[in-house]
Amino acid sequence: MTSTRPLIKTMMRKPQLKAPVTSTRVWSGFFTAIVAMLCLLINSQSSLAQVDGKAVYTTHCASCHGEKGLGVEGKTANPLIGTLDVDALAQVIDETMPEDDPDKCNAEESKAVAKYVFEKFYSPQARNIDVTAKRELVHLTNTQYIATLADLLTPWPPSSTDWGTERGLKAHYAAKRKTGKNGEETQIDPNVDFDFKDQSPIKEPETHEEFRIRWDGCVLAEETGDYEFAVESENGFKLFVNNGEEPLIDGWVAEAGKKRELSGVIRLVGGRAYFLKLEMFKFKDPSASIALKWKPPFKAMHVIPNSNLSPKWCPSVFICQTKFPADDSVSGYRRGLTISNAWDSATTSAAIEAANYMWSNANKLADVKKEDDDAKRREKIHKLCRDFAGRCLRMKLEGELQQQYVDQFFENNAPLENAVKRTAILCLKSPRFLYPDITSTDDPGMKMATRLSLAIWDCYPDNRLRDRVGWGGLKTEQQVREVTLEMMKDPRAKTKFREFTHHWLTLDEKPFPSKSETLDKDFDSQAVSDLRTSLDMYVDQIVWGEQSDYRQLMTSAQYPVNARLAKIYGVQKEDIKAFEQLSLDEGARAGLLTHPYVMAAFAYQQESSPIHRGVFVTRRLINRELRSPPEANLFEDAHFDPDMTMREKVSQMTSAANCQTCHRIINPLGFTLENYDALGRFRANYDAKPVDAATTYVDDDGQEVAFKNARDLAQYIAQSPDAHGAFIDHLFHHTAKQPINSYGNDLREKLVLQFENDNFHIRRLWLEMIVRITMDNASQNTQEVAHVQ
Amino acid sequence: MSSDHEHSHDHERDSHRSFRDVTSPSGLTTEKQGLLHRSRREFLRDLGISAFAFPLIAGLPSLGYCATPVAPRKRMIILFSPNGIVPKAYWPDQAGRDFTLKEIMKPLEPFKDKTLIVKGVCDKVQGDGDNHMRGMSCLLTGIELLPGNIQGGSHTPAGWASGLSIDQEIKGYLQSNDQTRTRFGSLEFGVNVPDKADPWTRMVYAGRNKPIAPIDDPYAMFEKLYGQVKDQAAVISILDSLQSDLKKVRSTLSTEDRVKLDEHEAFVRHMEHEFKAAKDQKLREPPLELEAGIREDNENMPKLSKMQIDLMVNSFVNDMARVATLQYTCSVGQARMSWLGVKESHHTLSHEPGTNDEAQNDLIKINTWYAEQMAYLAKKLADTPEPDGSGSMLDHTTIIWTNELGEGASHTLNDIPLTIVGGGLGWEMGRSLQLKSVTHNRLHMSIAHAFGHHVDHFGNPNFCGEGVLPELTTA
Repeated sequence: MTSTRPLIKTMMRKPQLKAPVTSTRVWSGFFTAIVAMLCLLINSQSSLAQVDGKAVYTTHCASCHGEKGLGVEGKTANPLIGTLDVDALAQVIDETMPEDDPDKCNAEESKAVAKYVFEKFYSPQARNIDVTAKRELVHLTNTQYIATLADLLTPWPPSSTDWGTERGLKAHYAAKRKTGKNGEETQIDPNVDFDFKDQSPIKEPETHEEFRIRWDGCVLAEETGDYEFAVESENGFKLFVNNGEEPLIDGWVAEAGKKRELSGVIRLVGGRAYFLKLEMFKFKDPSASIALKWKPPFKAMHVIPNSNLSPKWCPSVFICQTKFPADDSVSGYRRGLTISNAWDSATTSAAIEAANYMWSNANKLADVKKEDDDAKRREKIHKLCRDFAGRCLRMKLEGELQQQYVDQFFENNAPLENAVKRTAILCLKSPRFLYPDITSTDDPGMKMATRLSLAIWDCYPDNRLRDRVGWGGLKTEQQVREVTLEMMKDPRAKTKFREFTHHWLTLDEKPFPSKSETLDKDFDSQAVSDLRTSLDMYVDQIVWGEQSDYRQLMTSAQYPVNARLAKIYGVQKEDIKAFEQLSLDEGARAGLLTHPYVMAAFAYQQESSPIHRGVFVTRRLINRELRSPPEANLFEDAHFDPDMTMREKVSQMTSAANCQTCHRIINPLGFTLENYDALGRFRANYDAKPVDAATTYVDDDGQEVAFKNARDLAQYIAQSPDAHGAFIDHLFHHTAKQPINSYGNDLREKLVLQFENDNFHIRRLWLEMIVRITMDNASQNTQEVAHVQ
Repeated sequence: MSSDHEHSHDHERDSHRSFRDVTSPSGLTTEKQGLLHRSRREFLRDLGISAFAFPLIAGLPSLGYCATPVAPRKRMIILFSPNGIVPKAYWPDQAGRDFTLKEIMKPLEPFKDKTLIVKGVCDKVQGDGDNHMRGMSCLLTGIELLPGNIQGGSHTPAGWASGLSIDQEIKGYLQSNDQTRTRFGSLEFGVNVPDKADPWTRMVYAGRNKPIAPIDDPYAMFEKLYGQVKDQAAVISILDSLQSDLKKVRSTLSTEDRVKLDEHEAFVRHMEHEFKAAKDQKLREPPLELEAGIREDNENMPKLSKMQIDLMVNSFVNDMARVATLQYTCSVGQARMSWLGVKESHHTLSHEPGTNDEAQNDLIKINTWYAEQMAYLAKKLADTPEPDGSGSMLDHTTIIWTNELGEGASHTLNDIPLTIVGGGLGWEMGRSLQLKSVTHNRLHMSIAHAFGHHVDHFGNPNFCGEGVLPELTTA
């Protein structure tokens, strides 16, 4: 890689504000036309007189950048601020502005306008204005809402996330189909996928005609969403998930030994383990077999792997099944920004659902004992309601609020059912519950606990954290740091980071593009599912490994590969069983970027797509702004000369000047990935021609960077401060659900510096973010005081 | 309530007005606004949910009582008790209009002129499964069980029935017509049904391999019938507290955040309006008030039976369904009727030979108790007038009490107990019929035809040969 710029250039930072972006598609063409006209007028005069920077700015720039460089809604989201000197700024303007045609303004005009901009608002000196972004009032996201409810209505929250180190399920084998008649043989089975044929699995059985097996333990869901469980067997079976009483799947009565696959769908919250029990019996069926499978979100149906099973017992957890409208992601990350009727209705339905669950499980939740009389039961349930309200409102409940939220419903010996349900519904509909920043307590510890718990686990503080606040164990930065480190070990933290990865790489939105069968008939939905697993494992191994090194994430040449993937991607190795860490294409690969899942996700059905890939790299990995295209052009392969390469086709298609504004950035980044086809397989040749992946990319500062291939690009991303900033922005926003600038002008800068000086350690970066978010004092209420003054 | 509340109420009304003027999504009239009267809401909250006119969640078909139908309503209830009866104490000696009710049937004396006792109907379905299993799972389906893995006392193991049951066939027919469609179509009640699913515990089938579990918990049935109404009432009851707290919270926020919270508050009010607007849809009768805390155990069987019957009649009054089944325990059911002085459990007793007088007496007591349940149901229906003034509900409801076996000790599937009370299906009541070994599929067909659903067979066609039973309609 050749680059003329210094590797670490902390002085040069992109503008940091990420305001909501509205669609520009309709207007941009119109404005482009106007600017072009004005530009012609100016050009004809510029040589005649001393150029007036302000006039140039007003004519050429202000329509998009605003009178004071603050941006114009719908056109330019970022304010025109930065740290370049006047000459560098002039050069950038001359080469890139106006966006539709940089040639419309000459070097002299560019210099004049740069001087004007620099003095008026661009430079740090000129910028006495506060660029701190506003902290918006947001409600709980859907994930946060559902996860918090799960914690609120579970008798022992810790045990659903503490599922031990042993893997597999506890199996109980009995010789007879009826229980309680004979001794059982117990063992740990790695998973459930057995074909007993016409035999009994019991050692030396009296008969092979009958037997019974029960597997129990728990299952870990890594992501939040709908899980389809399935049992395939010709015998009688029942599957229980997160509910020991009602089976999710009941196939107890078999159908003449005919193999059946029965399934049931249940929503699960990621980062938690769920009670699981599978029972089967055989009686006189000619054969016996059983497989326990699932289809997690975005994946295919497959046997539940050993790594997601534990023989440990887990309590049932309340998982709200109400459907919520999707969270607002207009800011570039999901958060509870929009208040709509649909959302409000969903919170009502969910509150009713939770209230009914709370009432029907009140005895269990309140620990009512058989010997308790009615008065005692009432007392315990009243206390349960007070605790529940206190946890919803994140405070030690007392006085007026306690009266209003709980006690009023218990007055005059009101029926318990009404009291419990009303408490639950009022709490869950309360703005004090729905909006994390609306706090009802003066206790700073509790506020910190809320921010911490949401940042790392996306839920309100659990009993353990609340206890800690109670004894004053969450006050100092050191304490926050220690607690955060502890909480990072929890599967919920891993789930939150997993969700970040998917969102950052935009793998959480649309389904994987379908692929032409002619490419490889083995590339089916199972292969796609395995690829996604491979990507998840790849990220997990690096992020949660000792080095936790971002550069390794971006450049490693090895991926987890199983036998199915090995066949598709041409890995020559015998006897691959589970996923193994293997090198693809003799080290030609480079980290996340060239992981086959990513390459195939940003490609067409039959062909690579340099444009999709280029946009992905630009927007997600190096954080450059791209406007929506002035006109939508569909790529149609048939329009091109069949002898052309994909690179040639795309170059031709985007050659117009108004396309080049953006495509001069997009195309080189996409072309350098041309060694990977629509399935993400490596190719040295495109049809008969060798692939040309060498490109030159011009960065934000106008510096040219040459890439020979994908590895060069990956190296660039690993070392580019722009990319580091992008990574930090995405991770911070996913964690905090608020703009990074709202935590102070210099936080981003500091985090980038720390990251670069700390071996790009991802977990320590995240720790630092969470600590900063937790320790932040700029709550809604203090801001309000400032406003009033 | 204190004057403080009155004060806040005034504010609330003011904000309602401004809300309507500025951003009202619902465009409510002033008159409707007036319905949001505080005192009314307090009333609801303090009295609980059972005492007010029930608003219903919009968007569900036929929640309330329909407009007067064109044709008179026809309803059917199938009542099941297990383990056979005691023939000598059940079947009348005489055939025809002049007959005497035997010991077990005495509780039905008040309804004798509306009673039809049909002897000679036989379950001829063969194949896998023992007689209890086939008795149960073929009783309403008239078709063989699938081969399976469930082993009875004898015969080959079996699975579920291979076809749907007659009650579901009738339900499907009624639901396919706008005039007869109801919210649920059919309701499946149970009393003390053991918590297991196999061919002994299921008689209702939605189709081949698709058993429907009866709901034997009256509270769960209540939730099914009226849960939404209750939920809605609970939400309405907290709205005052919520809105006053929204105001308090609002005062602590910045100007911009207040705008947000105002949006939120507008949606809360919108919900309130919607809930209230639904109040035009009324139930004819309020939901039943169930006695609280009745556990599902053997000793509570009489109470549970009464609760389920009361709920069933209540659901009919509100026209939620036209077909119902009520299943006591299951085939091989082991109810121990200690409240009758019976010490042994039912199925065990049913195996005792006819020579064991003590056992036969106990079995008579048990079956008499079931007859009493039927009589209670019939009386409730007889005491409830049809809303259109066309007589009592019993005049339009046919109750069919049946059993999976003719007799417990012999496990016969011949002479299946069949006592019919009520009206509406055009059958000649007030008679004892003694038929000569007719298949029970023909009874199924007769039921369908009586509802106007002219099927040419039901269940296994081999058992439908001569079609409907003409004896039911002609004296």
